[in-house]
Amino acid sequence: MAELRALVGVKRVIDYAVKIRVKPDKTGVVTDGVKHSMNPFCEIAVEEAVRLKEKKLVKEVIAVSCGPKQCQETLRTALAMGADRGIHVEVPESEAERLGPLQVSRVLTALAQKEKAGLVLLGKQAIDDDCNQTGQMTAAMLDWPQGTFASKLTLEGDKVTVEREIDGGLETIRLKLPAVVTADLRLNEPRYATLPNIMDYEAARALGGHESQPPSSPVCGPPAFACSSLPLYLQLVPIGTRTCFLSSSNHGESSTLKLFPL
Amino acid sequence: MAVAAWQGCARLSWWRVRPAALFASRRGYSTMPVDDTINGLNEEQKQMRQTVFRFLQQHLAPKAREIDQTNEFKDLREFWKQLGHLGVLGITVPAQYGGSGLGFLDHVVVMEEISRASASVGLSYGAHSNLCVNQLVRNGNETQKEKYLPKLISGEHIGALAMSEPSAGSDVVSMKLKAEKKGDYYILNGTKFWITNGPDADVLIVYAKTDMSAVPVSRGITAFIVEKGMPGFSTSQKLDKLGMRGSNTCELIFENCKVPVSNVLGHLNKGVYVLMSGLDLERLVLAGGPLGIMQAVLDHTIPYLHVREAFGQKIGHFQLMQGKMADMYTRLTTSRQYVYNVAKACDEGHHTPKDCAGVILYAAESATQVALDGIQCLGGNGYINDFPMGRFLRDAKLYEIGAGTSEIRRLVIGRAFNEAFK
Repeated sequence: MAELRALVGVKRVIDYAVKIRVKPDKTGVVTDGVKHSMNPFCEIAVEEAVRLKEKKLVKEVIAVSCGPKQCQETLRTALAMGADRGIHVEVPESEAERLGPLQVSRVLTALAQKEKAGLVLLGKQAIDDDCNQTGQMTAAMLDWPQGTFASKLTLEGDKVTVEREIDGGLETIRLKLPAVVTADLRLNEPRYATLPNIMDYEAARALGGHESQPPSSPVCGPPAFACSSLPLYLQLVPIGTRTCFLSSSNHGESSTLKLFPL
Repeated sequence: MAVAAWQGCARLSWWRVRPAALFASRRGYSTMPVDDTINGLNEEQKQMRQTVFRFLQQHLAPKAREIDQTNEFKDLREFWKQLGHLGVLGITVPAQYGGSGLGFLDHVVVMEEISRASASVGLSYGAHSNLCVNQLVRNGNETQKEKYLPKLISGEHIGALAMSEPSAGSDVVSMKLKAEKKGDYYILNGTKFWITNGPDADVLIVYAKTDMSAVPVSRGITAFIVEKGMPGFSTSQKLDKLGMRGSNTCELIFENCKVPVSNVLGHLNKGVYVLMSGLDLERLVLAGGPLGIMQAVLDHTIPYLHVREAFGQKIGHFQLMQGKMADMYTRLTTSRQYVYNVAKACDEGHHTPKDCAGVILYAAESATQVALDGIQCLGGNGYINDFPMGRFLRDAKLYEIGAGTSEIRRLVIGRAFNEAFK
């Protein structure tokens, strides 16, 4: 049984089928009350991670999402698809609009190191901003090799062979783990969470939820956040607005993450 | 988790094919959001609706038009296995038999979403999962449940239920299908008519008269489990219906059909109890069908009203059109609250025939009206078959007839009140 941990980033975006409307003040698009769901490329990444776990090449699949409270729904979907744990990096709604690939890749870098992940799987891009930067930046910050636009992934021992879809056709590269891979459309066809899975997850969550005490001293610069944890599956990791702090101390069951400034 | 079932389905690369192709093929239409907080659903049920909705809009909705035009669902068997994999075929079946162990409200929501994509497949689904599977769960003995439920839940087998006959619809207890005991078998002779899933079903629950001289007449009915392939059982060609095309309906023919004694469902001559209590739950779950149709009408109508222009503006801004939208929406929402609440009550063990009849009476008549309004909103476009509005009307009408006609439902409610004052 492999010791490899896969960290999968999932982003909550406006659903692909929704008719997008521009805000009357032209500062952006209407997001209030609009249907959101997991970024399709992130679904493909989660599916790949879960398939690797089923093949016993990966020990644990950890889903991560950065954003406001509603991101927990996206994490729930990832868990229902087969991820083992979900980490929600909470960013208040007011700041969430300024959250971009640079910030997210810093978060992922820190989490990958903290969780000792050997493989970071992301979608190639998000369908709301089409940045196509997070995977590449994360790899650079971690100083890990990267295989982007993957349409085929093969894990063998400590090497991963990635077939990439590039402008000229297909390119096959071999990376030594740990590595970052971003999923392209044809990597796989994501599964639909089955009813028993959705119910199992919710039932387990209902049984096991308890909140731990927030740390006595605020660890982030204003505004201060309490660090609460939902055990069993979800961990809330609050970060500050401008600067993200860390505390390397553990307050009982809760611990906050050491991150560097946004 | 097995993923083999998904290998066959090619996912459309939707985000590369928009927008022109989408409008041409009408696959990418925006559906209207459903406010599940007002509907009183909990987190699990909201998630379940989302999952089922996504699957169906992807895999069923694009085929709905063809299914209606050709009166045939070519990939029925394959689709049934996909439904089985999702866990929706045995929603009310306890986990020990492989079911999902959920309640009637969950069943109604799934029924609604399937009907939203294709009402005819929804009807077949309702007949399979409630009429057949749920009856087996409620009335079958351990041996029968273990024998028949697994394949019905996985989607390998399709189920059906047969009570109506050519001359016995509303007056179902006057059925003439005879079952005579001969040793270890019952010999069935007669016919059944209007049987949904008849041509495709592998397992059918059939009501027959075991005691022709019973007094009252209803005391002579027994329910049987019949398998396709049993000697003497055959089906005749499928009916050419006005609506619900693609949900195959046919006549069942029993000519000295041998059914083993072990296949008696429930008790001898007590079939009417199986039948009547089953009817209540059938009406409740099938009430999800008209809800789905109404939602589908809204899905198509509201966006259209904000795209089509006349007299220099979008027609959705005219007062009479606003009035139509309001009427359609409130009919749907009120029907929904009634159905969902009765379903919730049934889940808590509070089960009244009056309300089970009431929900489908109200939802079905609302659905016909909403479908008519939908056609009107689209004007000329509503009248051509390029748009699905005509299909919605034809499909909606069935729900005023099947599962007890509106007239019978009114009788049930009226008589319930009479009883209270006896």
